[in-house]
Amino acid sequence: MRKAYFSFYSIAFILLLLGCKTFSLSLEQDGLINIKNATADSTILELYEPYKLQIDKQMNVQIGVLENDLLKEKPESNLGNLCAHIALVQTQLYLNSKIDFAVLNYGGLRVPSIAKGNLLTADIYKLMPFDNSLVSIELDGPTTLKVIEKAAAEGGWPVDGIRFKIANGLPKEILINGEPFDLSKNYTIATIDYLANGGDKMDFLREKKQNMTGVFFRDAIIEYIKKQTLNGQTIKAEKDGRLSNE
Amino acid sequence: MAKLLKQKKMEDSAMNNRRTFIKKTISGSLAIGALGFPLDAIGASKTEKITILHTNDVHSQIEPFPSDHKTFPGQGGIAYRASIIEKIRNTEKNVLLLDAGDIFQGTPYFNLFGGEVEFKLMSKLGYDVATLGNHDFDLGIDNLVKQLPNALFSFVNCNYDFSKTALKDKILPYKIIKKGKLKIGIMGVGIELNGLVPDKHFKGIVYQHPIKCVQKYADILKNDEKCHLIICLSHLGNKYDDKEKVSDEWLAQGTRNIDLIIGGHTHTFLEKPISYKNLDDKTVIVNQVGWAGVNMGRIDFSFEKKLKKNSVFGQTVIVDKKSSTNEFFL
Repeated sequence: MRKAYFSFYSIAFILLLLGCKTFSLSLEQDGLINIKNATADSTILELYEPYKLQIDKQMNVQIGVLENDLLKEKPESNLGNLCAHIALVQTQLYLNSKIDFAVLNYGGLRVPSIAKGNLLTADIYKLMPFDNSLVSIELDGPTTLKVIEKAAAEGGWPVDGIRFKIANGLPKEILINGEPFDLSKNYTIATIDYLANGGDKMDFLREKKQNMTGVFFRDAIIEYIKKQTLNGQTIKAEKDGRLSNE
Repeated sequence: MAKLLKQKKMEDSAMNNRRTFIKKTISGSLAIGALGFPLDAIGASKTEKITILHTNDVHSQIEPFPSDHKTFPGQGGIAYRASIIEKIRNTEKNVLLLDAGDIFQGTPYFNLFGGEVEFKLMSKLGYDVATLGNHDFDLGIDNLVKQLPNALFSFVNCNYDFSKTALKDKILPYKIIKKGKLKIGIMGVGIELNGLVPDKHFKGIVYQHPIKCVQKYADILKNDEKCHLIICLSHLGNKYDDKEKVSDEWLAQGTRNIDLIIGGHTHTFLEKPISYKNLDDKTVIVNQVGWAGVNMGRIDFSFEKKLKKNSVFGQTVIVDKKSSTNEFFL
C-alpha cells in the first residue's frame, strides 16, 4: 500500500514538474488569486482614520535636527552610542545619582538606521516602540563582569561609559570611566527594565534591586533631544572605538 | 465589506453536520491540476475545497510602509489586505482567515490605543481564529482582557494554563469551524514567556511543554471530533540552531495528526511552505510569512470523496499597492 502511494507521489511529482507553470497560470485564470492592482478598502481606511489623525497630530512633531545619518552596527555604532549615552545621562538625572556605565541590548533598537535631517517624535517611537523603563542597578564585581561578558558574547551591545575589546566573544582590556575594571568593586549600571528583569537571557540580574526611574526609555530620548534643541544644539553621534573586535 | 461579513455568517449557519466520506492524504488531484484541468472541473459535488489565508507578527502595522521605506517600500497595510481578502472570498466558497500571534506592538497605534485598533480592524476583515504571541502580553494580561471584546474572532492556545488568571475561559485550547462539508480543527501553541515578557505582565500563566499539549489536542481533534483538517497556529518560531528550543520544525516532526502549522515569532519570510514528515510519515506543511503584514499566506486544500485524496497548493501574497507575486509549490 505504501509502495503504491510512493509511486503515485513520484508520478504526481513528475507531472507537477512538467506542468507546474501551466497549473499556476490556470489557477490565476480561474480567478483563484488575482491581487494585481489591489486598492485600499475604503471601509477599513475610514475605520482607522480617526485614530490616524490623533497619531499624526502627536507623531509628526519635530523635536530636533539630526546632523549625521545614524546606523545600527556591531560591535559599535553611532546609533548605539547615542542611545546608550542618553540612557546614562537621563538615568543619572532622574535618579540624581552617579552611574558608572550604561548597557542596552542590540535587539532593543528597532530600526536599522535613522536618516539625518529633521527628527520627529515618530522616529523615536519607531526606534523604541516598547514601553521599557530606565532603571539603575548596583552590582558587585563578578555580576558586573557577567553583564560585560554578555555584551561581548552578543558581538557588541550599545554601551556608554565603558570601553573594551572583544576577543573570541570575550571582553578584555575593560576600562570603566577610564579606570581598569576592578573585580572587587561595586558598579552602578543604567539599563532598561527588560534586561534588569532577566530579558535576553540575563537571568543573573533577576533578583538584583532596581532603582526605577518610572520613565519610559522612549520618553527619555524624546526629552533629551528636546532639551538639546532648546539649547540650540543639533543631535550628532560618532563611533569612538569604545568597542572593537580583536 | 459588511455584505461580505453577512454572507460569511450565512455560510456558517448553513453548515451541516452530515457525516461525509471526505478523507484526505496528500497530493492526488494535484496531478490533474498539473495537466491543466481546473480543480472545479472534477465537479462540485465530489470535491470540497478550503482556502486558508494567514498572517503572523503583523505588529500593529495598520498603515502600509511609507513609499521611501528601505526594505518594504509601499508594502503592507490592512486596507490593502482587506481588498485582497475580499476578492478571494468572492471566488472561493470556503475561506479561513487566521493569525499566528504578535498582533500587538510596533507602531504608535499600539502605544496610544493598546490594541483596540488592531482587534477592531481584524474583526472587520473577518478573521476567524488567532493565537497569542509574546508581544500580545506587552501591556499585560489586564490590557488583553480589556481589548478582547473588540475581537469578534476566537483566540486559541493549548499550552498556557490560564486557570489562575483573568484570561481563564477567554482563550480556548482549540476551535472547530465548519466550512461547507468540512470540519476544521484549529489549535494554538505559544512560546515560553519567561524572559521575553516582564514577569508582572504574564503573572499566573503556567507554561507547559508545547509538544505534549499539542499532541493531546491534535488527538482529540482527530479521534473524538473527527476533523477533516487539523491546523496548529504556532508562535514558537520556525527553527533554531539551538535544537533544545521547541520550534515548528520540531513540532511538525515530533507529533501526529496535524496537517498544517501556521507559524510566527521568528519573522521568517519563507519563499514557499516547508513539507515535513510527521511521526506517522504523513506530510505536515509549515508556513510563515515574515512580519508586518507585508505578505499574506494562502494555502488551499482540496478534498475528494471516495478517491480519498486531496491536493494542496500554497503561495505568498505580497500585499502591495500595485503588484503581486504568486508562487506555486508542492
